[in-house]
Amino acid sequence: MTSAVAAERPRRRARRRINRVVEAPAQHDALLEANLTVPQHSTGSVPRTGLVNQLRAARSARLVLVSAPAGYGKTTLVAEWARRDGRPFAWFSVDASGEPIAFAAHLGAAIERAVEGPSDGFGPEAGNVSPDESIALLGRLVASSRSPVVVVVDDVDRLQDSASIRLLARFVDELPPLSQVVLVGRARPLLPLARFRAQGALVELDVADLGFADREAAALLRAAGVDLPREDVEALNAAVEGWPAGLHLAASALNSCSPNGIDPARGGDDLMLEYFRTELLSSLAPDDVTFLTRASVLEGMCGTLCDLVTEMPGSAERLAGLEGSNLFVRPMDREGRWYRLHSAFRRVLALELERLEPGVAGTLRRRAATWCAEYGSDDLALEYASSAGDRERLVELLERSVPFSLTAQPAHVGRWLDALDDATFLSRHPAASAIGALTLALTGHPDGAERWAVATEQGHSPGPWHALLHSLMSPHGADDMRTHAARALDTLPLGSAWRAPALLALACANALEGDSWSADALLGEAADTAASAGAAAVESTALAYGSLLAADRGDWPRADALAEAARRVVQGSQIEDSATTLFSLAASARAALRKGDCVTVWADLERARALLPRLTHAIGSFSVFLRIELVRVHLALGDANGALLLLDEVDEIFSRRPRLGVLREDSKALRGQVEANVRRSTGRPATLTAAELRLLPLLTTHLSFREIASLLYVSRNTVKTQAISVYRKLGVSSRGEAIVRASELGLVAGAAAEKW
Amino acid sequence: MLDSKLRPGERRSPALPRATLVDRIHSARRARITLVEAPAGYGKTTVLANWVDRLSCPVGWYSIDETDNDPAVLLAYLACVLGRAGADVAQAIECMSSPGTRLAAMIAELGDALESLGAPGVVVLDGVHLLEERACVDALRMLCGRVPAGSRLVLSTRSAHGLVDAHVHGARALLRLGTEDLRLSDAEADELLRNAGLDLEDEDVRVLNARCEGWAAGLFLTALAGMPAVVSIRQNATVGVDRFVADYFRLEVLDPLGAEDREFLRQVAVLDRISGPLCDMMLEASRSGARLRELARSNLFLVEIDAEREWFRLHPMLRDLLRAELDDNDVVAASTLRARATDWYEAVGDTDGAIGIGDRDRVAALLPNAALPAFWAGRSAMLGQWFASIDDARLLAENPAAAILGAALLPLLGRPDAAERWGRAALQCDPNSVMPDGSPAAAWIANLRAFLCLDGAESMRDDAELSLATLADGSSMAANAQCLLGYAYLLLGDDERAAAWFDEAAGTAASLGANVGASESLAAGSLLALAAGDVRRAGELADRAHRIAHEAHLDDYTTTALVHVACGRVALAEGRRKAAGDWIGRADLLLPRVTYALPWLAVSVRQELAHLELALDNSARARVLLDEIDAIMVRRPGLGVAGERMARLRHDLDAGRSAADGWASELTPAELRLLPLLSGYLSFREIGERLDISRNTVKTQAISVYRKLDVASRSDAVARARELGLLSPDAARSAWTAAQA
Repeated sequence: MTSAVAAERPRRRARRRINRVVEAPAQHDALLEANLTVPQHSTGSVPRTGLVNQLRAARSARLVLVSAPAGYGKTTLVAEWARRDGRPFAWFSVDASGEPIAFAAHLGAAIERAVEGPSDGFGPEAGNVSPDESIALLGRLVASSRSPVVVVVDDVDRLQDSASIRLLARFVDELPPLSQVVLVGRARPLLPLARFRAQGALVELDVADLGFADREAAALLRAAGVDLPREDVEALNAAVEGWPAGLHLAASALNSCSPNGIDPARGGDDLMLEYFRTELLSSLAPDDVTFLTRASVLEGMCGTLCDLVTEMPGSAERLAGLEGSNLFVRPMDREGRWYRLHSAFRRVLALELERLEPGVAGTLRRRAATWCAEYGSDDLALEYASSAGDRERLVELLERSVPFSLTAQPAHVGRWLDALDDATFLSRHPAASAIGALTLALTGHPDGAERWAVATEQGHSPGPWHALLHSLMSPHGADDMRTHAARALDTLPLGSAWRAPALLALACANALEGDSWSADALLGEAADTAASAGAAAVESTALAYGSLLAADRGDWPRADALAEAARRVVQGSQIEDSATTLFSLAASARAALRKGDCVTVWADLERARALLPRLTHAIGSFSVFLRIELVRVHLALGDANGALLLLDEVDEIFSRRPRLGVLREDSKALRGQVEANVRRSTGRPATLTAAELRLLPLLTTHLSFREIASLLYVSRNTVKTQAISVYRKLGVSSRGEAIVRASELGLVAGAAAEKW
Repeated sequence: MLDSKLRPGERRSPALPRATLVDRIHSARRARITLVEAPAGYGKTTVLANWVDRLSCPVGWYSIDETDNDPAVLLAYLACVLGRAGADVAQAIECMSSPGTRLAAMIAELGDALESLGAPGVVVLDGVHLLEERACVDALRMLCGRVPAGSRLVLSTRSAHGLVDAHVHGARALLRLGTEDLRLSDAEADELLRNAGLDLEDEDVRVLNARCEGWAAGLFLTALAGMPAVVSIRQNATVGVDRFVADYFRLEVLDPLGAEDREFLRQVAVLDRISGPLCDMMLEASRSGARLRELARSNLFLVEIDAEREWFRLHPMLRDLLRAELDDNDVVAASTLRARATDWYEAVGDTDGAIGIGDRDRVAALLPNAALPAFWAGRSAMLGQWFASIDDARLLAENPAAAILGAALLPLLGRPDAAERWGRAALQCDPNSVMPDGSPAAAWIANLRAFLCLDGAESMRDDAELSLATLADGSSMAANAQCLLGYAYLLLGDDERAAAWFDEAAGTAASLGANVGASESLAAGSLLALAAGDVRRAGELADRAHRIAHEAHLDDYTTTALVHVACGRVALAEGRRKAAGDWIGRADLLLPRVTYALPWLAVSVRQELAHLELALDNSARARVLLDEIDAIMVRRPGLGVAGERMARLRHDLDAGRSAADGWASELTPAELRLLPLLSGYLSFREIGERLDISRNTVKTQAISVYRKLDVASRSDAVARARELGLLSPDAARSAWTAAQA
């Protein structure tokens, strides 16, 4: 009772003062009424329960900022929050920038209404109050409420005069505990946000939070009467990046025409163009429009890149400004250096560019390629050069690319190379055509690779590139491979990164001829050369190749070390999706097998299976060698079917490349083993368990079962059971035979026996 | 009157831990005036508010803002604040409300009120840097002079205000807390980050706090930005600073400055160290020194680094923000500024400073003169950065001297991978061009060839001889060539000549001030003397080698491994087994960096170590070392008699198979290599860095070691390994000593 009275007194006084302050001409009343009401719930809107809960939980923050471009449902969200929150919500929409005193008065009216229910309006009294005083009054008004108050200022970006902004900022400081100010707007308001943030008093929601998840997008579309399959919803939502208004526009476009005649991901582009023109572009300064349309050719934008491409200086600041005013310009990093355009907006801007400056896009892309080649990534430069149709630049970029770095992205490579696929053009650029051929060969396009290879040979003089290509694609066997690799090494300039693959080919030729030691030394050099050129694909292949050779020699520690090194190289680079990682996978699988780590073995095999189709007869000797290594792994696991499948692929390659020498023998011998294995086992897959694999190397030693048992911390009986199981699975009947079989299969090495 | 301005710590940051400082302020009861001086975001308000919470006496708190820079407003608030602190201000208020009173009179009334405080009271004025009006400053100054004993006046400010003077108030009556005091310790930083919802590993906290230099707002905002921001700081991957921090700097530091000052700061941010004359030259301006002093006075993110107020630096985060702004806006301007700054340093003869500017073309041109002195002076980390900054094919092709030096020094700095690329660039240069020391390039190239030892010991000898014959008189490379010649003869089995050349090299190196070469040659000489049976001479040489290396701070240099080994062998020869174990431990720490890229050193060090381990009955370790030598010889064949020596060692090893071997063979070579490091102080992550494997691999190997040794912890594993003779007894202690040194 007493507290209620005590609260009532200052409130009355404050209201009287405020009423005196406001000069509200009669015509303002209607306007104000609309501006002071919490917006009604619009039917068909998607509930945003998660976000509302997040807002309700953030009570300790004095300031909440909801900022996003038009059409992100900011007001709807806060209105939903207002309905679900127990506290009174004072609502004020800024309509135009006015006097700070008037602003304070309007705010006061809104608060008063929220605290007490509908107010009887303002009298046309005039008064004279300083900003400080009005803040104090507003503060006391909020403090007089029985419960904490939430004061919403909608369209806060319309508040432009610094006095009102300062007043608002100081009002936030003046708030009693647990009351909050919520600012809603398209652009970030000019309040000292950083200070509130540093005090931990600011909660921010932006595009990243307000964008619709796929589930919400589906709900919105359903409510708009569009029922799309899930994949289409996801594609559409990705195309508009979760922008609700974009979804609405797409829905109306879809509603107005037959559902089959429209690509959902591009649905509503016309409407969006219309929307962006009226909502955004018309209100922008002309040079901002020029800037944005020109920048629409760019995937990512940074200051110096835009300076060059748009030929408009000061891009860095302009970008920061555009991002701050939320014009569908998004930051790509946290340092404020790189930005990108909202993809729907970008499509529209590209159309505008064509309308405003027809034919200029190619020039702009060419400039972008120049910038990227100098300061950015070669991949992007290639992308820009190919979309600009700049063949000379493409060739130049291909020639300086890191060996095999492009094989990790088959999708793009196809596009880049298509632009060059012209026999007479290629014959003038042997380096580019050789690199293109190898790239095609490693991305699973053997036919394209051969066509390009022919173009390389048609050059005027068969130079290093022809030799390099020939050595790697090696259609005529090991001898030929060696000759060409040697020639490539003789003729390639000393600093060339492409010496690494030539060394690899030479090593491979040596290995095929059974000279494992020379191969090893060459592989070491290839790995070093590749490492210093940053060619992770070649480096990992050389290391893994070395590991496989070492394992065949029985040098297990070295095999393990090299396999691990190869794996690390692959992990440290972005080549996981490249066919060149197959060697590292094979080496890793064999190393895991030796350790009895079946989980890794199977995981490696599975990844290898996915990449194998890319490794075709186009680079025959590598393809065969790799598959034979994988056959050994399958065999060791007792997976005869997998092994046979691979051997069939090997035979297929042999039918196209009949002269691959020693590998043919290997594959025949392996096929014999597999078939014998199938015969021996009674049809049941006989995979060695992890425990059995761990036991194998110990079986090759002088140790008795009892001694083995004590080493492995298991009982003697367990060892015996496991050993018998091993014998059965290997199709043998004694320990001696088991060792012979196991070393045939590459499961144990002869040298291992000495170690124990 | 705004209530929020009078509420203590309305703007405090609840996440900020400040208990220590609060204690310090609280216990300084006799200080009448407390001045807290630090830039924005150092937690001044929070400290004071937390302290005020503790007080039982009446407190008047006043948060000053921009609108208070008006005597009328200020005095009214001051009267109110003094009243809350217990002063009788009735008369002052009366005086203020009566029209026509002069400001001076009102101020005097306030002073009387303060002075007349009966019981102790506390007045806190937060943000006095905002007061610039003369009358406001006068009022403050007067209040400072009239605080009665027992009461306290506390001022917080961003800029060094001329308000308070220790001479006037007496040192005892004044407690002054500056930026240094407000900096967060790593522990406090950790607490702040955790309060902000970010739980990091100690190492990350340390890196982050080092980057922020204990600046609370920087830490808190980075925590809000979340893990990605931390990761990019940890990896030092991105240029510029996080956008939350950038916003804060713009709002609190840059916006309040005038446009001219802002531009000035942006330009001088290309410098790590800033001075007036340097700026004058760089900006083609004058009086930059005065301007810097002025800025430093009002904005403490620009700080002096010397007592003479000649040199300044920016807070690293602000510097990086401004640098990124300049680079993003105008690449040309940025490079012009850097070029001019380099000119200035060159003009004053400071090559290191010139290189430090980071204009890459200039760095490549300047490095050849600066690299060897820096290397000899033990500044390996900086040298590594210099080389890294010019690691670019074009630059190396244009600067063969830099390429040759890089190819030789990078392996010594633990970067064998880069050396090959540099070597290739170096070997392609025109042999007739003239190097900085006046020698033909051919001489340097021959030197490099000998150094890399790509084609065996005989070529190494020929190359070293060629280099020695063609080098210009007094060349700084001479000692290096002589030393390499010594190694070549050593590998060829000619110990006598080897000893003579090492002797020569030691003399030349000493006269050049080449500490590295001197200690290395002496150590090699010591080992040869030992082989010849002259223990006394060996002892002398090893001792000198160690002294030189230690005094020049070369303890973690790759070549010092040889010094440790020589000391170890001498100790063993003198029967000091424990000391020998110590030396082994120290050499072991350096071993991962002694790679195949330095075959002569790698093989020598490992052979001598294997001898030591064998003599200390630690055959398992010896075996690992021999395996490592094998691996090196696969990559660098033709190392002369090294092969024979290996065979002898292996024979000795097989003859003396010890009982521990059963255990040793169960541990893999990788695990055996790990053991001595486990006994050291290094964390798994650090061990991983040394061995160039991932932290997880180290962990897996360690766990495997524990399992095989049947123990549960690292220390148990070390103890057990020592029992089994897998580890020399005092490897742990020696590792510890090495860390201390």
